[in-house]
Amino acid sequence: MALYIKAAQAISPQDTFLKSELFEIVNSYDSVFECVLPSFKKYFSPIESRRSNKAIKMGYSCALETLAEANLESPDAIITGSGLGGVSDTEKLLNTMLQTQEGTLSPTPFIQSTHNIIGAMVAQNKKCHNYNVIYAHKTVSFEHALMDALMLEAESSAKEILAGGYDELTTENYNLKKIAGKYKKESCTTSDILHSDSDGSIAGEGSAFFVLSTENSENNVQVVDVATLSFENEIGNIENWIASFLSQNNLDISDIDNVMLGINGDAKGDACYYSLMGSYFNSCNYLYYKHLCGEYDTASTFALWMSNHILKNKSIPEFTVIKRNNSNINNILIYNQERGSNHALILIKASS
Amino acid sequence: MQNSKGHKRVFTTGMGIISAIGDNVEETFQSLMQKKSGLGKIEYLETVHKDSFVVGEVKKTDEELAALAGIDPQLEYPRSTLMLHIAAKQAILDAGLTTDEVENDTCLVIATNVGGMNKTEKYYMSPEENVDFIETHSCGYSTDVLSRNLHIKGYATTFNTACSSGATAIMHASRLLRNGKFKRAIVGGCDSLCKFSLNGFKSLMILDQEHCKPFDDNRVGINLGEGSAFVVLESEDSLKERNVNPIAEVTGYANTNDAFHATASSPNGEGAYLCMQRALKFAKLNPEDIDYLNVHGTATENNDLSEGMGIKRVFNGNPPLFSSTKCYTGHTTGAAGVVESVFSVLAIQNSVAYPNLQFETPMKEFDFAPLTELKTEISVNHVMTNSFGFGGNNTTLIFSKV
Repeated sequence: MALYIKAAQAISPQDTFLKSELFEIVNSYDSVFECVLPSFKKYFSPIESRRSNKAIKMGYSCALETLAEANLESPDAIITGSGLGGVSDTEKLLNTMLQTQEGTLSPTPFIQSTHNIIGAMVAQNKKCHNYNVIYAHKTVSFEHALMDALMLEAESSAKEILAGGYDELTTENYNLKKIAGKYKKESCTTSDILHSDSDGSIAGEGSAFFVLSTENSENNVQVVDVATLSFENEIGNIENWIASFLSQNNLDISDIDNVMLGINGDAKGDACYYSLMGSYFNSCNYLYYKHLCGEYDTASTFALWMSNHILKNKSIPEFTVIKRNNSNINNILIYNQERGSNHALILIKASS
Repeated sequence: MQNSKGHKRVFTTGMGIISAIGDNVEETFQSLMQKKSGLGKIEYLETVHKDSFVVGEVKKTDEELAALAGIDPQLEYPRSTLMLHIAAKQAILDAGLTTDEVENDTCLVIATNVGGMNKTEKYYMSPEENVDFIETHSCGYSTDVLSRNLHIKGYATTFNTACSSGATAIMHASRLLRNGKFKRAIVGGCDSLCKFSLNGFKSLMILDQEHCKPFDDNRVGINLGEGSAFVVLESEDSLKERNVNPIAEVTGYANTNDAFHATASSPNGEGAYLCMQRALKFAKLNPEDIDYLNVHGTATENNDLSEGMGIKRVFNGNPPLFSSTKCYTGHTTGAAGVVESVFSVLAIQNSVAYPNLQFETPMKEFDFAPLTELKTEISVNHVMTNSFGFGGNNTTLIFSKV
């Protein structure tokens, strides 16, 4: 059996939420890619809204709308991934605690900062007692959620799985990461990301959720396989790992039409992609996505959301293309890594 | 031999632990046998609440932990990262894994709630002093460091499902082996005591200023703890290849959600009940097959009532011998599920069941109460352990004698 994307919703720096078609106009940013936020009135009361951080608002609304789109009352499993959880509430608690020398605190930030709150809120809303876990492993948090979904399906433990990810950007976190050299210190716009020659990436945020189903009544896109590799710097070994992944799926690189790459403007980290583009990937179309959503631990949720649209519509928008090397749109291999750490592959293919 | 579903069996072959009651498995077991609690006043954490709360600290400074871990203290790893390395190395040694075996066909599954928070809160107000905390803060950081130090490339992941994280990690690793993804898993949990957790739990008003009293009618709340524990899991193929004997088998697991409230558990213990019931079903065991139950038993008014209701329903009002070992170690949050799995395996190995400490008055809602005497030379074939977290995240594991 296999898993197909039955429904998908995303909140991102582009116009994506509740849109049945892929956006045509690209929102451009400089250094910081903040989400286009909908009104959250439908999902939160005014009090809840004031209390809830952006990660919760984005994640919870995407999750609910994805379930609604799939007409799914209660999923067999809820699997989420997040790098930093509700980081703005972590900051709130830290700041208050440190500034008041551990004076009396409100409990709200402590609870809202936790990684598992969104999975919990969805379970509560849907009275869903089923399997519900959260991965918190940096840039492969969402990939590991997907791998778990595939394993559940293989165990015949689940037929309809809600899987998603979310991470929010805060001014404080952005500034700290800038100091640490993770984000660029100088200006970097949407169009500067490709072939940037300075270290540090742009910053982003967002959430996307998916209903993965064993049923495929609407020619949906199949999530074929997912794999991660903790660390590897040698290009040859990376190629071997990708080749091995494809071979386990009875494929080789010549069968792959498109590679969707996690290029984020960090010269040090992007070197890997450029190296592969010049060689191992050279029969594939080179696509990229972080110039649309920015860099954050669960950015691959955006990559999957957009790739799903591309395969369903059998059309690759020019704004994701680095270079076309063929005219096929049957599959996409999403590939991301963080300066040689946490290499991640998501392979999806069209049904028809 | 595969079980009836064609899935591979999963065994425990090694353990490691550092907590308030000992720096290794042997010391830990001695403390349990001597009913020696590691709870006490705060000695190591710098906090204004030093004299206010009872906690279960690992009796070591960060420098002493670094020395024990064989890690250069200049690297200033967060406290939890140090404890993680100590317990991981113990488990690997205990299982007798060679470097080659660790590096090939072995995955790493880690659980934590607050990651490198103790370092973050030290430098947060003055990042120019030390900017490393930005990297060391995340839940996945320690896992990545450990995976590099152990050369485990194939798969390394981190769970954060609040206080059920450790048990969730063991369940996940067991599934990876059962599904033939890896031959071995090194599974661990860690959390260090920090101001963030202490003040966070304090804000919920669920901390006890005295020694906690799980499942006691007059219980007040939690004593926070810290530590790290690891188990090495192996498939039957791996046991045969390496010609080793297992110390226990992971025979059952389940994960459910209470779906009631972010910080409170349901009054009828629905999540707890479903979790224990499903774990038993998976293990193909009846409730009466369980010889000892290591409860989550945080000693909050809410958890013990909810968990107690779940226990009453699953065991038809007649639960096995049970206790909460949080009386010894405190609530080690992200590490708890693995810490208590180690205690469960020790119970099987040594045919014992541990008593609660400080217990005085049974809860009025139930006809049953936890053990108050240490039981030795009893038949312990199957042990169940519960770990329930905020957000209704529940995981139950069952370990069995081989």
